[in-house]
Amino acid sequence: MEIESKLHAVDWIILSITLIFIVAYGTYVTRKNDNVTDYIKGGNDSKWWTIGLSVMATQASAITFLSAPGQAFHSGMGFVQFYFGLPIAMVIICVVFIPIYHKLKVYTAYEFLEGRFDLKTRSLAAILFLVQRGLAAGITIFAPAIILSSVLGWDLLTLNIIIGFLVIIYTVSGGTKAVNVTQKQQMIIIFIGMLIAFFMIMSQLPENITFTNALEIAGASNKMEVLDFSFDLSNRYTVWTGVLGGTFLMLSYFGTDQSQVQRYLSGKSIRESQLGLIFNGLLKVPMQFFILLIGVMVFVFYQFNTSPLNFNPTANDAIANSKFLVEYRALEDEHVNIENDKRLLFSDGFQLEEKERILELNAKDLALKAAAKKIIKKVDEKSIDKIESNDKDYVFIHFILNNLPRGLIGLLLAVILSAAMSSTASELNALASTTAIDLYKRNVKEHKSEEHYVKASKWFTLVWGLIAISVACVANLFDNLIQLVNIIGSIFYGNVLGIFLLAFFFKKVDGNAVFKAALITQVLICLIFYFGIYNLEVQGLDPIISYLWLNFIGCILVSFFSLLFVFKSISKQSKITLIITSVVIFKISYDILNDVSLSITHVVSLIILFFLLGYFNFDKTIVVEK
Amino acid sequence: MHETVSKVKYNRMKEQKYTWKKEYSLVLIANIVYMIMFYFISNYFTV
Repeated sequence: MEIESKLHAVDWIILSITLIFIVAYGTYVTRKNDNVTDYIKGGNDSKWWTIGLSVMATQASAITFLSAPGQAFHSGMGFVQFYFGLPIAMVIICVVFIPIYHKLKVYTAYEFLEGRFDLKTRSLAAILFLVQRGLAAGITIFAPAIILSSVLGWDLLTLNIIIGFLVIIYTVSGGTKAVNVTQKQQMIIIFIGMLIAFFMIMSQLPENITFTNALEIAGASNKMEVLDFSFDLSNRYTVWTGVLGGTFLMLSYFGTDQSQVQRYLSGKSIRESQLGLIFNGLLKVPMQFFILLIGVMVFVFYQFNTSPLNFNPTANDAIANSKFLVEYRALEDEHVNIENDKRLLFSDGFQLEEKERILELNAKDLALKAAAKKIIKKVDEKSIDKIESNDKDYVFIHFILNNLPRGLIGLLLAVILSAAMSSTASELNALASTTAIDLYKRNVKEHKSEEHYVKASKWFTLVWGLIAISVACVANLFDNLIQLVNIIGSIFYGNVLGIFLLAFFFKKVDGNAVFKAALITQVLICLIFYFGIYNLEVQGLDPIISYLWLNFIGCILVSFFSLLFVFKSISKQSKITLIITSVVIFKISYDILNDVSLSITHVVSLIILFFLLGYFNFDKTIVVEK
Repeated sequence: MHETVSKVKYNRMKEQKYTWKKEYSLVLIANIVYMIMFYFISNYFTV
């Protein structure tokens, strides 16, 4: 394959040395972890910068570095709004979650639920986490592997197994400490790689095009529209969904997902853990902005250089062997003409009077790309293998392989694989800890030696690693598996977040109430998903809501039902608020059954009622000190 | 040796004090500053 030859010996050396060094170093420095505290909580000696980098590395998977620039290339900078809720969530976790977790000296987030509620609620939350994160770990390996195998011609199965086993080696050997140590190095490589990539793109723009010119060119094609203040719920990235939905989503992810909780539980003190999250809260938004900016600069680069009509090489190969080739070639010729016209327009930078012409050319090019996607879908229907028509994941890797110098390609591939490894390592580490501490130790073998639990944790890490590799290896057999995993996340996350919020803030709610409420909520969320989303999409109809809102609905429902079960013991104001909430939920259900889609009024009224319920039931023993 | 969090251990915690630190204000202010900067970037470069 032509692209395969783009990897020079220097690239292979840089790639191999980077990965082997990380694995070897991680395994070597943590080889003496022989007690549970060392293995699961990293010896409780992590400094804030280790925690901060580790939290960032866990969240930033390989797909972040492959997809986000592609997202910006096609749709501009708007995706950054998705992260506006993150700093708010970080502050809430620092104020509420961390002090309690540290004081109780918990090993997992779910352990806290037993102290606050009971064993069954703890086990339920742990199992919900294992199902969701177990599948997600497989996808963390599969998602970059499918892209790299397709552009580099590497064997998909081999790549899945290599990524999986590299991670297993140091995660089994050193546990949390190994994950933290390696993530520091991985993040350093990621930062260096992305900075170099940015400057390389800038250096390859024509000499007369400055950074400001480049931003103006991007702006002329509406790629610099960062903020969207519209109240349209069908639009996934607006300031409101970022601040409101984003806070809920990030709160559930960072506050209740063991793969993140385990990172800051390894802190030397409460202060170090809090500073680690503050570091993340300060840096995440600008970091995401920078990654998107790289995508926008790639877009500017392709205003002066030729680009394929569709960046997915598998799709192009499939079309070359199909009866649609002539039709596709005609689209490609038109695309080349448009590119030539744009190059001429931008040769002296961007002039205001050219705006209309640029938009006209962009609209034509978009229509060509949509027509190309239709052809790819037709080819896909007749093909045994799944062919992805959406090429956003392939834009950045195409740029790397075709435009960066020798050595740098190896470094950027190391960035992508490091990101895949760092996320997977946290996931395996968390899955093993939850299985060992919440299920095995608590329900199967309670009074064994430290050594026994460390050994058990190592075995569980290995087993979860093998499960993740297996999921990655069969993932290609299913359509839209990545989306399926996101859907599974949304189905469970809201419910689990609701359980934790009740535990922290609602003193009157007991274990029985929350357990029953969680079970009912889970059934209802599954029904809403099946009848309101899946069934309608199968029939080619629009779903009543985007699956992302299931997080929010799950959180509201579990709180609502829990309070309903302790109705007698709550205050008069909260009884009235609960009755009003029932009426609102009934009205929303009625609207939805009558084909009225979820509106901003519905969401805002639920949020207000949720906060009122929180206010009236707030645990009065909590004292906020300035 | 790790001891599971029991009801007794949880209840012993009694009054939980939540402390507001200046770093939290800094994070929230920084988030607003980012939004304001993005607003100006959007307006300046989108013609």
